[in-house]
Amino acid sequence: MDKQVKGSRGFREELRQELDTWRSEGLITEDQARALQDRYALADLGKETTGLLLMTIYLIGSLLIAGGVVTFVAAHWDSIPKAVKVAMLMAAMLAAHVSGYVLWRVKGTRPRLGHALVVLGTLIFGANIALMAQIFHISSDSWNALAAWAVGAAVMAYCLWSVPNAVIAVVTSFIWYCSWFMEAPGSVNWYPLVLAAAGLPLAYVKRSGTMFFLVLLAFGACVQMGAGASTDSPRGGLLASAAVACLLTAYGAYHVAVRPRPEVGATALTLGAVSLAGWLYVLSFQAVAGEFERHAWDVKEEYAVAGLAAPALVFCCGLVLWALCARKCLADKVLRPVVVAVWVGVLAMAVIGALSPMAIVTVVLFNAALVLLGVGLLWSGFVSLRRAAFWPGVVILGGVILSRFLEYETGLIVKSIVFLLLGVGVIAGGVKFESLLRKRRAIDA
Amino acid sequence: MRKHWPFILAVVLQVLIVAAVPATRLPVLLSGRTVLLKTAPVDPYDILSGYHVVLSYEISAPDRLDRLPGTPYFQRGDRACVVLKEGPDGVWGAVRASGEWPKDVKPDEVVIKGRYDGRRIVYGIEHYFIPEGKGAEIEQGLRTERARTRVEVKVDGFGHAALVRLHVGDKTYDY
Repeated sequence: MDKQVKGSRGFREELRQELDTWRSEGLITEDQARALQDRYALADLGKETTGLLLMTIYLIGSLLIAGGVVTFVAAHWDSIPKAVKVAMLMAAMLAAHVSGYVLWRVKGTRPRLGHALVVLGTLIFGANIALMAQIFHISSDSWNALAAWAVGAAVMAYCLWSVPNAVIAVVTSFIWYCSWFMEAPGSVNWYPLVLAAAGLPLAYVKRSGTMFFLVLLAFGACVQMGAGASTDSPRGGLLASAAVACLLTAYGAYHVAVRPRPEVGATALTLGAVSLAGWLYVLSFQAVAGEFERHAWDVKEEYAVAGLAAPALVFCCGLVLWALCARKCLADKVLRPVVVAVWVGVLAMAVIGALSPMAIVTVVLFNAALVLLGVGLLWSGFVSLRRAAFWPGVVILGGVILSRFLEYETGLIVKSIVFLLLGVGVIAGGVKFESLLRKRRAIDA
Repeated sequence: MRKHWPFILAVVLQVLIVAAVPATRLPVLLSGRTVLLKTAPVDPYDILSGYHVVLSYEISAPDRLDRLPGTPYFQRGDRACVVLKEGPDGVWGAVRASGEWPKDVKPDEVVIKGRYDGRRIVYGIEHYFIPEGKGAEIEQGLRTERARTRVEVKVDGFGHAALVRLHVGDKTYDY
């Protein structure tokens, strides 16, 4: 497994540039500069860039070669006997796999080229499934071929701990899910959970942000599609949005807990909280909640919600709890309040969705959840001095209070007092926050 | 050697998956009974597969089967078992259809199994991939000889079918 390097790539590149300046200005000694270079592996930066570029070139080359092989056999040359065609397909696949494996793992002389060749082997494997059907004139639903491709790619990904192979598995299996979904919605509701169970361990072991993001993206899309299939009820969209908000939260938690990129993590956490707030806000209005009340819970009609969004929420619950239990997360001041606030809100929504309560319960709970979210964001914004958390918190809290006072019949004097207090509060809080931020920056500088 | 086992396992699995695609048709081709079916083709273009003909059979249309005795109302995804019998012109036609496997199949009859996809009944013999360079010839033949287009298939004892050859007028195209 690759050695973990401290700091993001951008930070290391900036540091490398700064180090020269510091050294020339006499701010740090040669020894200190060397110690920093070693700590952040700055000498490897050039090699990493070349390696990344080479890997990209190799993968693009692999895709083109795979295209060439497919097109050649797809031409369905009459003069080539079937047995020869089959032998050609198998030979191309095996040649790519074996030569790649030897270069990557046996000799280890050209690991990136070797890895790209193994990926080429898996691409040819997928093409072979379709071409075999063509050679033997077999009509079958094309998504069956995609499922077989995904299985082969996933097994290869785990056997060699290969992220590109895993990406192929995620993409093909997701297209397979979409095809099934259009054919018979609700029939493959188990897919997102299997995808997460199969994809996340590899993402975790390989520390692959790309893989983690792809799995969660596909997961979120499945949940949203499932929710979209449930007709004329606000419940599907609500639960699905809750699940997607959790996904964003989980993604943020992953970045804070596992990968040393807390900025990405914190942004995802804020996005999660904001997307959740959007739905909470819509249903915090009495008129909308009344609409919600009129739709009795019908599992048969809303099978997508019952079968997809609910397990998704349970899964996200596990993921977030795992992230919370990670040592780094518990120590992180940004993560805890946001996750807890988001989580309480989600649970409130899930309970309401499941139990189909009266509109008044929906309104009260959703408003409470919104206030909790706003306070959580405000607090974490203050603690970490991050604008991305502080100002959304202000908007959410201000929005809830204003909306409620405009929604309900209230005396003009009360309304004016609330407006005044809110205005003063926002200005005072904002000024305090910005001055703290300025001070912190002055200290840092 | 032991450390290479995961890779070997993954490659073997991929080879088996690829090999499984035609393997499902081999028993049908080896042991199946030859049946000649009347077609009504259309001609789309598929980027991955090159040119191919989508074959639609008389037994593919549910409204034709509805006229037969005992045919149930097929819903999307339903299985269809169609009993075929050879006509005087050598072309096989449907004599009855059911959702379950029929019990009283006579020796001169063959059962073919399909699935109703919401528009038609599919039997897995709907695609004929046109060999390179034969596209124009087959297309022309399909236009002018539509009434004399036949498909030779093999059907095994379980109702699985496999395409054997395509007859367009006087010309024959092996699969």
